[in-house]
Amino acid sequence: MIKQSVKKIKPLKSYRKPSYPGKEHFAANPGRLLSYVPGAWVNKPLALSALLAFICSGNIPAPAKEPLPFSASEDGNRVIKENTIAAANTGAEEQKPAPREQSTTVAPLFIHGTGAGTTGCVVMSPPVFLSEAEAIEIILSELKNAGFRFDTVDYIVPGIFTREVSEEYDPDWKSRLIEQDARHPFYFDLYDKQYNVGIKFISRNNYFKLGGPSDSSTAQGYDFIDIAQKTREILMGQNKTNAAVFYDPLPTGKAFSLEAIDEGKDIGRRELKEQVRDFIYWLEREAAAKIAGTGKNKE
Amino acid sequence: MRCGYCYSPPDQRRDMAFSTIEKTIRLSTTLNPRNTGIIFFGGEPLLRKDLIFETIALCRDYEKKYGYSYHFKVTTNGLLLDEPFLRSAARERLHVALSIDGVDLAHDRFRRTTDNSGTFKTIAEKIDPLLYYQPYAYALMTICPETLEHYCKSVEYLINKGFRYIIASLNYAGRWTQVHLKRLKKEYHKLAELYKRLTLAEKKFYFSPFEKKLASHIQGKDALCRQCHFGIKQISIAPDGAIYPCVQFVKNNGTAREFSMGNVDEGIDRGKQQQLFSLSRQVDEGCDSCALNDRCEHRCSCMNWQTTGSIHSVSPVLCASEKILIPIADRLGEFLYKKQAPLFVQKHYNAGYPLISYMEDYQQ
Repeated sequence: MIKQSVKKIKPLKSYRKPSYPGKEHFAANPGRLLSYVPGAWVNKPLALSALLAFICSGNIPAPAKEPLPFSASEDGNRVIKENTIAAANTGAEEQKPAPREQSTTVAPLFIHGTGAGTTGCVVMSPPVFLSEAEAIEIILSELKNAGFRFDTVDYIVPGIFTREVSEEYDPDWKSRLIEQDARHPFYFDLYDKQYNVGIKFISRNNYFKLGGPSDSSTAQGYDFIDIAQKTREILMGQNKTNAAVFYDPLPTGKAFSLEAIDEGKDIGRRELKEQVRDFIYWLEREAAAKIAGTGKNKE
Repeated sequence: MRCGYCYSPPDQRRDMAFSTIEKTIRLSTTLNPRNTGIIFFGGEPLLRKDLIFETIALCRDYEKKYGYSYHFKVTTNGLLLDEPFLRSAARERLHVALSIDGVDLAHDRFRRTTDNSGTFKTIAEKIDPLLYYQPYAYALMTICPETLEHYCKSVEYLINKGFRYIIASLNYAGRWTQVHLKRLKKEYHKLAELYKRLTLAEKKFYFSPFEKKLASHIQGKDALCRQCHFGIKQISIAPDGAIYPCVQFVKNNGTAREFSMGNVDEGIDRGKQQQLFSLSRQVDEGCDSCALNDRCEHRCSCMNWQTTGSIHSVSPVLCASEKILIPIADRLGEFLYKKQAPLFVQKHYNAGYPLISYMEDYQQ
């Protein structure tokens, strides 16, 4: 312990409220920031457009990605336009693109919740599932709070299909995974056109379509993290859309009771929110790092 | 080096084995692999540049394989900074923070070599190359009662040399008297004038004492989440693989063993981690009733431990210095807001400011 001649802590009974405002003043109306543009930014379109972008997106950092071209499908659902690039000269025909380097990013998997559990008549503590609708609502709400505007229309990603897998047993009880013939188109549950980001939520509804093995026994096991990771790997290979994958955290209920289900649901909601918050945090850091990296390359 | 205020003076050199580093990185994958910050700390980490880059290579491998994300920092006394290292650091995005106390009279007072010579001259020559490769490098200042009179001059010197980020900490463990506190107040006033002048001239810089106090009012309770989360958000690994809640507990002579909360072989002892965290939350009774409670740094458990021997007992010097700093920072904020200083508003009220600022620099 250090001996000092300043010896006592003296709490302050009161302190005046400073007259400069808190963040709420500008958060309530981000447009006010336009009244305070530093002179150095005025002649720098990049800085000015970034400022406008932040203000328009609720003053929250978001990744600066160039959107890919889009078109509307016949049924009115927007789909990602495949194999076209805008021609450089007006009137020129569309050309086949040259092979491109990886230009899209797939977010890491944000682990909150084991995503594992088993259902069936012999199971004493089954997991508690979130409904897909509820999960999408949670994800949307968190993203909205951070200033992102995602559409709920399903976006089908052309060229990506998944197959169901069933687990079957040999006569000597060795199990094998058998891929089924039927293919399922892959779609994002949420999509942000501006930044070309798709979001997939792994739920009990789509678990099997995405390749989660269905057990041919009285108990069905789920491993959402495994399927989320596999989905992530598929998306990393497509190079069309920036993407993130979330999964049902699947908290395990303590016993069969309504209270346990409620408690489990609360945990599941909270853990899903944590996944989304980590994603938002990652997105902001990623955008900053990319831009910093670009500057360095130039140097 | 043998810095006079070092909280962990060296007795003998202990390097971390690469196997311990591997285990540490593996451990990190179970904690927060999507955004892990790794800080290389010493002693002097640049004594083992090879280990630093081997660690980064290992992490890059994990990034490719598993989609994790790492960022790196190193804190150095600067003596071993050279062009090849700086080139590699820039390539690997290893952020360098340089310990420098300011002008020669301040720096050489405590930052001396084993043969008791000052290091200012050597370090000063490294600043230009450092800022060439790393324009956003941090300058880490420690202010002691003995060097207080050079505080404002030192900050101005560092800004003029080109540093944009100045992280200044008072050495609370020093021998502070009431006379020193009066001098501190005077220096803060001078620094506030400097801050005003530079901000109105739209010069970009970050000076931690004022920025943190301004943020503590502007961000309100949100600023609290940036304060110490003892052993929860950040851990430190000793060369022998022991896990501590903060780098300040990593002692060569093992005096802080009671704060060890596991090791890289067996992972974090969650019970101990929770116990230490709970203990760190029990702040002095006086602080709870203080009007500046939410704006004060008294939650830094490591600083408390260094100065009072208890992680939840607050140093009277810290208490006194915060009561000096906060009103000066508030008057500074009021002045700049009243003047409608654009840089002040963007820096403190626009969440996108760091990114926009990068873009502005990039376009230059």
